[in-house]
Amino acid sequence: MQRGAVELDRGKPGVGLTGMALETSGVRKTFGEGEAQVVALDDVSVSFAQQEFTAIMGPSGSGKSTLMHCLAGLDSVTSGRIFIGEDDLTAMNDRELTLLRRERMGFIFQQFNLLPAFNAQQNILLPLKLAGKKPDKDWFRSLTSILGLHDRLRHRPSELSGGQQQRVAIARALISRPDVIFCDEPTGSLDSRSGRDVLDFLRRSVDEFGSTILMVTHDPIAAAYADRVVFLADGKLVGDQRQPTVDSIVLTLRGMGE
Amino acid sequence: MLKLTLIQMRVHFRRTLAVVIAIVLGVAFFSSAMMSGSVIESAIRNTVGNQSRGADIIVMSETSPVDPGLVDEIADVKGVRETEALSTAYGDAAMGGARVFLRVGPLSGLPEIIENMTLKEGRLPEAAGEIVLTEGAISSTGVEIGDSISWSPFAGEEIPAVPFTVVGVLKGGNAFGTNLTEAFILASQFSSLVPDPMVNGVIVQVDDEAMLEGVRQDVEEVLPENVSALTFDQVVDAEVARLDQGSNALVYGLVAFALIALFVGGIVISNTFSITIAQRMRELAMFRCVGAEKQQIYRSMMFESLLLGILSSAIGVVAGFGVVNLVTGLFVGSASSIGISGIPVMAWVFPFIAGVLVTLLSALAPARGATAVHPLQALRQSDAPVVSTRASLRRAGLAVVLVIGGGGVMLGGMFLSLSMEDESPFGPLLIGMTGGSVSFVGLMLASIFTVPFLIAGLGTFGSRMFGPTAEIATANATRNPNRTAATSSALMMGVTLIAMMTVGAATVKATWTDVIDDRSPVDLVVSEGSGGGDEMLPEAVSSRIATMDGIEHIAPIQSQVMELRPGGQNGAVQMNVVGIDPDDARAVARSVSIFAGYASGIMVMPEDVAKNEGLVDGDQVVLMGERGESTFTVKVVDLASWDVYITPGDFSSLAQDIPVSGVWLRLHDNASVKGVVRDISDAVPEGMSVSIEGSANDRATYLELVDQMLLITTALLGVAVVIAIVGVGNTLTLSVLERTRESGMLRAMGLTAGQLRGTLSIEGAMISIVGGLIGLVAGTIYGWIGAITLFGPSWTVTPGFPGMRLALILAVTVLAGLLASVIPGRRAATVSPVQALASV
Repeated sequence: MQRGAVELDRGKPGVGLTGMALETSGVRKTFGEGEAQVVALDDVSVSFAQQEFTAIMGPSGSGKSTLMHCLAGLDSVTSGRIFIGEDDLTAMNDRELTLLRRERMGFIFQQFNLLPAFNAQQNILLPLKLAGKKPDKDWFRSLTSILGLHDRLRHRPSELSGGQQQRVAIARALISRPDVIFCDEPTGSLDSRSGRDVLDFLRRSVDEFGSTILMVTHDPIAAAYADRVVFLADGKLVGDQRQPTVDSIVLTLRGMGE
Repeated sequence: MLKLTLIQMRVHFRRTLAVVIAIVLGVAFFSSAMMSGSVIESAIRNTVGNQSRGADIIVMSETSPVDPGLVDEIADVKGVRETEALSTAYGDAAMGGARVFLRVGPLSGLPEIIENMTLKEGRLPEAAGEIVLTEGAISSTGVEIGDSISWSPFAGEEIPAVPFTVVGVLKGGNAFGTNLTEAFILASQFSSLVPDPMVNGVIVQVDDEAMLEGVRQDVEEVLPENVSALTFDQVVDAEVARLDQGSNALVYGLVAFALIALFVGGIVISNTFSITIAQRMRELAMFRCVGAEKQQIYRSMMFESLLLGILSSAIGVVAGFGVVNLVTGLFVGSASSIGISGIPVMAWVFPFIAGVLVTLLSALAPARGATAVHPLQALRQSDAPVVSTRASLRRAGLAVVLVIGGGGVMLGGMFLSLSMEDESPFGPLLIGMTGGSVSFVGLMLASIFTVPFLIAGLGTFGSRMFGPTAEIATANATRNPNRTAATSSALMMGVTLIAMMTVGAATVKATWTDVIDDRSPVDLVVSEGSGGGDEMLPEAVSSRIATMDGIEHIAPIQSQVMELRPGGQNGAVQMNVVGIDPDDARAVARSVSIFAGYASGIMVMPEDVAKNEGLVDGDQVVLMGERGESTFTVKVVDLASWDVYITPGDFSSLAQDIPVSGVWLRLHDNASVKGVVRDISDAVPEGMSVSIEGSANDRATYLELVDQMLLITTALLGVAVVIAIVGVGNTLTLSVLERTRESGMLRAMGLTAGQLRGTLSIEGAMISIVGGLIGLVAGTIYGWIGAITLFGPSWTVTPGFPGMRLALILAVTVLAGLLASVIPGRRAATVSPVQALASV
């Protein structure tokens, strides 16, 4: 296996490139002032194509979660621009960002984060409820059957296994057919078998439904499912691989450690 | 442990604050209730003291004034150095634009009395035309030193008002309208104005202090039956006792309300403690991990609650003192007249201990719960739990038994009261109250089932209207039934009591109104008032009255004394006969039954008259007038009157050209009685006098009285409701902290900040609506049954339903619930999704 070439994508500043799902330009995020200042993201410029499964990797403190939060409009940047399609996130206010998330983004967290008082079906349909949209029954049925949830719909999260809960979360992320799906360590709380089911499904989602997925992970096995892996260290982009394998990822990580 | 506990309290200041507020309110209420009693006593002490502090012996009668001749008799007793009559005179005073009754007395000639008078400002009168008043006397009139007032004593004939200049103000006042002197003038001027004053008592000074008791007994010997020789303290006690009926009942009533407030506070505190412990799960688990024993945790919790209790109760007692000072204005007319020394130790200590006890008791169960935390919970991520409602069947059974049993006893008391005739309803009332309390406890126990059920129901309805925000709110409100039920039932208690009072008052008003209407069905009767033979109300006057504001109907009446012969028997009697047209009568009278069927040939006769003459309904009687005689059929009615009534046609066939001697008036329901009376007096020409009587005044006075009492009790109960609302706020605030991750996730999903606040508002509103509704229904039922039990023996009760007021209560409750959600809502919405999701 060749060591993956390190390619750094520098998109044009200003206007979003056509066809890119997400793009950042010169993004910088700092916390605090003066001596105690922490630089979480240091001049990050990267773009993510549509219908691709991209993994974002790096050691703890590398800024990968922060990058994802900023891409999702959950957190603000100190300077720089972020585009989802043609829209500039950095120019939006809280309300606009919220509506954006509602309409065009899906989330899958490590902690599942289902509402404990609602059953599986209610949890899945939640984003549509918030948007005031009617669910597409066919889409709902195919999602739930592919994920193996059709006989668990009336159960509450406390009555589901970890793997089942995460699958409910996936269904929830996909139900509104978002432009981008953000995953933050989706397999972190799962055993290896459930984890593999989840990753298989995410792969299928991109291949069959044309989803665009961004996944933050520290697990090389998980990252190997992706089309592309982007590496961060100390808030900077340090690597970019296409068609990654577990070995190539491990090699890069080891290199980063030296 | 102490230091750690203190640090905890400081760090979680908001949590601490919520509990503190609940306790402070309850304790403040309690202490002000207890202190108010001594305020009244202190005021009386000052007032009595102005006339007699410094006297060795005071001779007073239990009831009436004392025979002035006694003064000399007492002076003759061995060992008596000096005597002085305590004279007083009642009169009309014009002060600061108002006309008030004023009791004036002469300044004592004894130096030991004068030096004990408690001057607040200015000086005592030194010349004629000067007067000193107590602060209570001038409280509402705005009179100050230097102002002029005038006073005219009631003394048989009219004495023109005498001008006085106010030169000083004394402490004390006319608490509850006692018979104490409230103003003093120079003795010489007093005796010239009032040569024959009322003597309320006698001051007796002895030669030798050591022989005091002996002299006192000797003086007693010359006194008549109901007159005694007392010391100053005994006199004060006697005056206070005289007020007992009023003020003691008031103090007991206030204390009862305070205990209710404390009880509600206890529920709120207990609930808050459970929530805070749920909050601190991880912290507590960490302690256990690190090696703390269960006992240590328990003791730490109890110690924290002890500190809280002490701190809050102390604040509460001081606050109560402040409230009492503010409120003394009501009784004495001055806000600054009570000093700390005037309040007995009990009034400080009792409420303080009560507050600490309530706090400790409320913390017991939650503290025990805290020890159940498993060390492992420190290591796991634990989100807010969803508690399944597997509340025990036993609890449900107990609740049903209490409600049905208590309700049964309550109804039993009611029926017992109805079966009694004209006796005191005290017994049935006690039974009813016991039954009612038991049934209420049952209701509160049942709340764990009823409240979530009702909220779920409300939620389905709300979701249709408000969409996902309502759904989320409903789910949150029902996820922990224990907690929601506890919060809601604290509110329910306050609302039940207020609703009960409101419905009770409305029923009292409706019943009284009906009773008055039946017996005195005419609002106002205006008649020529001189009592001379020439009874005529001028046409001009009646036509002016007819056009006045507030008059709905006017019925002219004729009146003459005629001879009535009860058919068959001899004994003819003089009877005042009133001629009134049947249609007019029916239009004016508020009772329908009295003039139903009244027509020519019928004589309407009040019960009392019929009983006197031995007549019954249907009897035939003969009336003899100047023009002749006629026979009438008697219709006996329940009417408070000594006149009999016949139609004008019948009247003119008996009497010659009798003019209109007066009018009956029916007022519009919302007309101002005082206004109408004033207009009528103005319409009467100079030199002519009219008498205006009738039930309208009585009715207006009663209704006003009931409304005033209702206002006061509502305000008092309002404290309990406020505490309960604080409880709602607590519950919401602390749940927000619990649901931080969920809130973050929802925000990430696309719930706007406004919608997040909305979920909390809806949750707060739902808890309040459910608690309020149950409270309204329960309170209405209790109010009706209570009123029927109270009036059973005497009157038929007309249930009142003050729909508007009850709706207002519900509206205020819901509004308060919404208000309680504002701060928690803000807190929830200001946490960024990232922060919320990251909280580990």
